[in-house]
This record gives sequence, structure tokens and C-alpha cells, in this order.
Amino acid sequence: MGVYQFKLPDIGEGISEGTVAQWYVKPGDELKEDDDLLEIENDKSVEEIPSPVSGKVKNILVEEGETAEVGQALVEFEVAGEGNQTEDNAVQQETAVKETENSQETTKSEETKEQEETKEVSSKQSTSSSGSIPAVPERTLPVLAMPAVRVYAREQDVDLMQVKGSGSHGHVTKADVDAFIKNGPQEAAQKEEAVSKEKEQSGKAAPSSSQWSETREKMSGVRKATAKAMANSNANIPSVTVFDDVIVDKLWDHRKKYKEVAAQREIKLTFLAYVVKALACVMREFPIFNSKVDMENQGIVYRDYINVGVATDTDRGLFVPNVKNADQKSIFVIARQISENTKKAKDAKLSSEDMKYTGMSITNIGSIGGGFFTPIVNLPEVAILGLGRITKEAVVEEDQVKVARVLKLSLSFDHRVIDGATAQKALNRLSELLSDPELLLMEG
Amino acid sequence: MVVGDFAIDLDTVVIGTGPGGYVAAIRAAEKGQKVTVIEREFIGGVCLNVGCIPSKALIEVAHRYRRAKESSEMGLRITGAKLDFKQTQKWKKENVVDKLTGGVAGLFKKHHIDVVWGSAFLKDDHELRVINEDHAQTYTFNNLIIATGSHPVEIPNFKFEGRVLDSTGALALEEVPKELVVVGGGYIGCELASAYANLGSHVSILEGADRILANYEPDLVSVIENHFSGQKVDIYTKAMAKKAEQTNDGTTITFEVAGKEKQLKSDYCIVCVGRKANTAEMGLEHVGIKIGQKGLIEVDAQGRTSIPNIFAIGDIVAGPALAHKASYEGKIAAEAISGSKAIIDYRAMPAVCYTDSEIATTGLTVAEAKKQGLTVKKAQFPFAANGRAISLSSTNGFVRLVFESESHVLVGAQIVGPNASDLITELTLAIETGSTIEDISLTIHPHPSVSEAVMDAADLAMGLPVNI
Repeated sequence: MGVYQFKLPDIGEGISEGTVAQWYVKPGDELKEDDDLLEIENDKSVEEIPSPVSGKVKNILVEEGETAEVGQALVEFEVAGEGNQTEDNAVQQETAVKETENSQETTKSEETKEQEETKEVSSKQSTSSSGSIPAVPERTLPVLAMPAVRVYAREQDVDLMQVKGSGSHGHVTKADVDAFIKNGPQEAAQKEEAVSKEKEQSGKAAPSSSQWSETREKMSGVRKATAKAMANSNANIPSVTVFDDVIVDKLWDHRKKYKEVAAQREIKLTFLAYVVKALACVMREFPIFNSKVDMENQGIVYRDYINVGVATDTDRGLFVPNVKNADQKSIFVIARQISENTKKAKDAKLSSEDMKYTGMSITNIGSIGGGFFTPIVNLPEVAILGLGRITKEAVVEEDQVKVARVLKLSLSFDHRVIDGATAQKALNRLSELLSDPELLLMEG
Repeated sequence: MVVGDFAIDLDTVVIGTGPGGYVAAIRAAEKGQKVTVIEREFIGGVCLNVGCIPSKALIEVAHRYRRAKESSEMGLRITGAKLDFKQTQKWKKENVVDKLTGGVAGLFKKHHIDVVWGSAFLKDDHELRVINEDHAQTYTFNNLIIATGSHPVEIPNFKFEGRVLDSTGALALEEVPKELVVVGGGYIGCELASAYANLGSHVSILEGADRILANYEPDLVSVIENHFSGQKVDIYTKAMAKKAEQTNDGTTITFEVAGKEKQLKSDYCIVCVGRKANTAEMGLEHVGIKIGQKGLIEVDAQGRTSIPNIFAIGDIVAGPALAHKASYEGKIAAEAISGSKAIIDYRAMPAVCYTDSEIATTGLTVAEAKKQGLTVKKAQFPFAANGRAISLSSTNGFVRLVFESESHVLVGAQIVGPNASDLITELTLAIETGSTIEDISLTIHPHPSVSEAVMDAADLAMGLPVNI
């Protein structure tokens, strides 16, 4: 028998950590390769991870709700076999041998190595059965900090667990503590223990600070990602929003007419599907809306594809899956895609692939209510379209006041690359397409 | 309050002037408190008067005496090396103990710390009474630090009197006994056994456990056992001391080993089976101070007892009964009273056993680290491969480093051998500052010195040993 440690794999570009959303297994469970193992939630995606090996779950090292870094061990399996399943495994055995045998480092034949393995495992088992501790608990060293820094942190009421160390071996320096005081805990608040510890402390402090007590909760992975992305966008994009009304009586009727047809094909035809199609059309005609800004090289990067993101609200937070190649898809296909994406988002089944490579996004608060608003562009996109609710309003047409269905559009754009006139022209074109579904059909 | 007994108002009061109390008093004064200390016996406490300091003086004399007789291998033949033990005791008292205790008294003066002589009894959380033979006086206090230390435990049928001695009596002998029985093979018993063996006594150690110095790892202790076996020292383990009978010129000690009763005749019998916290008969429970197991006072991370303005430090709270621990805690308590957020936050507690050779440890052993769930490795370098140790003709023992496998951060060290007591400091600092074995290896150690063994152990830990 050998021990196999499964480490958090690199799931997507630039994602360095993930929160364990759910374990499908518990210690003692026997499972086969590719059986469901756990769900990892990270920057806006939830990945279901299958078991890489067959074996028995020995220890779960990262509990649900805890955050792990890429490369951190998540679970230990007891696996049968030759002891050469993975690199990680081999490394672990080597250290085990070193520990028991102290300084024997010479290469050994497979056979003796195996014997030692068995020895190692059985000795581990015997200690766990004789000692009061059931399994070897995972424990890390205390925060590395010089004694004087520890004193300083205490004086400043800073919990060192929350401070990211910049010194060698990750030492927390006095400067790190100062930076933490100045900039707050954004970065380091990721450490679960730290937060819960603070919660404990604030809980303790509560009685003395009269009736104005506070409750602190930790941000979920999705919330952290949203917070980071929005703060980043808001800080870096000089954003302008233009507004417009569009009369959508024809669209209303068109949808009413084809809703039944769609339903027969088990498609839920929504106004959003039309808007996605119309926006894809505008993005094709105004490629700047389908670009990204590369300030470092003073460049503008145009995308050769048109993917339209749709912001989707769920219990776990906001996700923006996209409709890929929306310009090449029929409105029915788009409608089906939106439904599928929404369902995936609600069931926490979105993969990062579903959300990558968005050219421009639509945020539809209209399904809940509201009119004009100022959406925040989601970097690296350069524009976002906000939809209000379709309402009946009094409008003037040919000097006559009449009642019409009106959709309110809010278009936020990155003024670094898009000027007001261009934006308004694009919005005009969008309005034109939405007011006349037949034109949309022709142009789309 | 007794009629006519007017309370004298004080600010911070420290009970006890041992290494915990006197340090706490000075730090409190440095932090701006008006400090008064209460002492019932001697400034400096057990440590300076009848403990650590005088025992080390005696151990040094014993060392020199043995060296004087046993250096012929190095070409040093001293004939007629004579021990004047009365002079030894006089030197120990006047030039060592009195000098140090006088120094502490001087420091009290410098910091305007008043000394009140007598035994303290608490009346409530702001009032205590000091009784000194024929009179008593009540004092009020704002804050109190209790630092009353500990005393040797007495066992049945071994009453401390005449020729049955506690450690205090053992240090004050006027003659070197020919035959000495030491009951208890802990570090105090072994230090005394080692010293008297060097002075020429035949020593028998009776230890209840299956080995002496049971608090230290067996491989450290075996170096000491080897040394004892080359001297006139007999070790009886799993021995049960039954009784001591005294005559005018000696004692007869009865003990049981493996179900058989045995007897040893000796000039003196020293009993060192442990120490007990001095927390009784002071009215502590009476004012609501929580006292837990073994008479130890329960305190928080600042040393605060269940009464917020009363602190306790040293041997009377949990942890090893070590002078340096008491001093550390004393500083924290004094600073806490001044409103600092200081807490007891050490990562390594060094401990030294002044046997021949010395044992010194700090931080965690391999077993302790594993128990805490750490994955550690060890590296061990023998003094036999250290140039300075060879030139000292003192090559027994080794330096062992215990470090976390992945980060290489040092978590513990054990040394047995020459100057272990001084070498351990570097490693305690290394642990306290979160240093790795690389850091130690990259630190230049002077040549030739025994401290090079530390660097060599670090090199070995990194898989790049030079001198072995």
C-alpha cells in the first residue's frame, strides 16, 4: 500500500487558488479513478474534479469552505500498488525513507524500496493507533516573524496570520505590518483561519463596545473575485455611460409570435436573445466594442470572434457566461444557449471555459425591474450594455402622443479607446436593430 | 484590620525577589510604576542563593579539581592538588552569591524599589498583610505580581534534617562526603552527583524511572551515563527509596530494586525528587485566585490570574520551572500592568543540565515535533569531528538540529557536550527568529570553536557536510 496525495491542479490561466466548495467523499470511502471527488470554486467558476486514482480516502486535508493554493495537497489516498503512480508520490516516499533511515540516500532497487514503504506505512499506522491522535494532523509552522515584529504587530492590533510576508522564507517584516495597516487586509484576508480568528476576537470585544455590535463573515471565492474585478475596473477605466430609449413594440409582437414555436422546440425565447443578437451585430460593425486595451504596449487588440457575455445572478454570486460566436448563431440557438448557461450558473456547473473570451457583456437588471443605470465595464472588455425593464410609456410619434413599449438602454464604455460620438452611434444602431426585428433578421 | 494597623498604600507590589520577581520589579519600575518587593528570606531567591548560581560555582570547582588530577595525558602532572572545601564554600558565598545578591539589591536602589521583609498574605484583591516575626503591617496595592517560586518536595521517611538534605543543604556541606546517596536522578540530582563525583565522592543515584534524566532523550543521556560509569558513580534505576535512618556520622538508606530490599550506608543523603509551587498558605484561594493542578496558578497569556490586577509568574504557573522562564514572564507581567499588549510568546525554551558533559536543549525534539503534526528531519554532528573539542580533550557528544522538512525552518536543537549551555543560545535565537538551516550554514562561525559544530550540523542537514 502506498499513500497518494492529490494536489490542487492548475485549473485555468492565472488562477492561483481555489475554495473547496464540496467534498463528494469522506475518509474511509473507497473510490475508483474518475469518480466524483470534489468541487473547487475559484475566480468565477466551479470545477468538478474527478478522482485521479482508485483507492481509499485516508485524510481530507482541506475542509469545505477553505481555500487552497495550486499545488497544495487536498486529500490523501491509500492506494494499492507499485509506488510509482505519480511523481508526487515518489517524492513523498523518498522523504519518508530519509526520515526513517536518516542519512541513507543511495538509490535502491525497487524491491527494497517497496519493503521500506510497507515499513513506513505500517509504522505510521501503529503510531496512529497507539497515540491519542487518530491521524497525523496537518500543521504548519507558526507565522515567521522576528520577535520584535511580533511585539510590534500586537501593539498595532495586527493579526500576523493575516499579513503576507515579503521577507526571505515568507518572513513578515515590520514594513509588511505597516503596509497591512495602511492598505488593509485585502490580500491576506484569504486565510480562513485568520478571518475566523478575528471573528472570534471581535466576538469577544463585542460586549464592551455597547449595543453597536458587528458580525463579520468571510467573502466567498465568488465575492472576492467580483470585488477584485470591479475594484480593478473602476480604478482603471475612465468610463462614460450613454442612455437611450428604444420603442420595442415590434420586437414585443415578434417575440409573442415566435414564443410558441420556440416552446415547441423546448426553447425559452426571451428578449435577451434578441439583444444578444443585436449587440453581436453592432460589435461586428463597430469592432472597437469587441477590443481590449493594452496600455503597456500602447495597443488596441481586436478580437476576431464575437462572444457576448450575459451577467447571471445566482445564490452564490454573479457569473458572466458567454454566448460564443453569437454573430453566427440564430436567435433560437442563442436563446437556448442563454438558458443552458443560466442553468449551469445556478447549479454551480459553469467551467472557466464557459466564461472566457467575452468580447462585451450585457447586464439585464430589467428582469427584476429598474430603468437606466451605470454598469461597470468588466476588464479586459471595453463596454457593457445595461438593460432596464420594458415598460409602457407615453411617446410622441409624428406629433401624436401614443402609448408604446419602451426599453431603456445604458451603454458604459471605456473612454480610453471609445469616444462619445462612436458610442452614441453604436447605441443608435443597436436601438435601430431592436426597434425593427425584421431588420435584425436581415442584418444578423 | 487590626486596631492601630494603618494600611500603607502602594502601587505595584511583587512578592518574591527570585529571577522572576526581581526582573519583574525592575521592568515595572522602568515602565514608570512605583514598585515595592516583599521578600521573606533572601534577595535573589533560591536561584541566586541556594540554587542555580551556587551550584554552578560548586560544579566549576569540582571540574577544576578533576582536571587538575586528570590532565596527565596532556602532559600536565599536578602533584598535591588539594581541595580546601571550607575555602570553596567561603568563595562560593562571598565572591559569588553575595556579589550577585548585592548586585540585585543595588539595582533595586537604583530603580527606587522598596524592599519589605516578611511573608505576604492576601486579604482581598487590593490588600495584603506582611508578617515578619513579631509584627505585621497591612499594605494596599494597585497591582500585584506573585513570584513566590517553589520548594523541594519531601518524601515519606526522608525528612529534611541532619544528614538528609535537600538541594540547599547539599550545596552547603562543609566537607566532601566519602559516600553520598542521591535520591532522584533528575537534572538537579545528576548535577549534584556529577559535582561531588568530581570532588572525589562515591555517589549512588537512586532513580524511580527506568533511566536517569528521563526528561531528556536517551541518546543525550547515554553520554552522561558513560561519563558516570567512568567515575565512582552507581546508578540504580527503577529504585524505590523506602527510608533513611541516621546516626551521628552517617545514614543508612533502604530502597527496593526489582522486589529486593537493599541498603546503602553513606555520609549524607540528598533528596532531589522535584519541586512544589509555593502557593499554599498565602490566602490566594481566599481572594478568588484560581489554582489548578499541582498547586499551579491559572493565568492568561499575560500572566494575569483570575483576578485582573493580580499576576503570577515563574514556578507557580504552568510550564518548566526554570529561572529564565520566570524572568521572561516577569517582564511580560510588568509590561502588561503598564498597559502594553505584551504576551507570553516564545517559540523556544532552552534548558540546560550542568552535568559532565553538559546537556542543552531548545525548541522541539523530533518526537515532539511529530506529535505536533510537523514533518521534520534531523541532522547530527559529533564533537569528535570538531577541532576545538579535540583540543579541549572533550569530544563526547553531538549537536542535533531538528528542522521542518519542506521549509527547512529550525524547530528544535539538542546538544550534549562541551559548552552546550552557551551553544544553545544561537539555536534558540535561530528558532525565535524563524531561521532556516541555510541561514545557520551561511553564518560564519569562528574557527576554531566548538560552535563550528552547529554550522557543521547545518551543512549536514543540507546534505553538504564538509567536516564529516
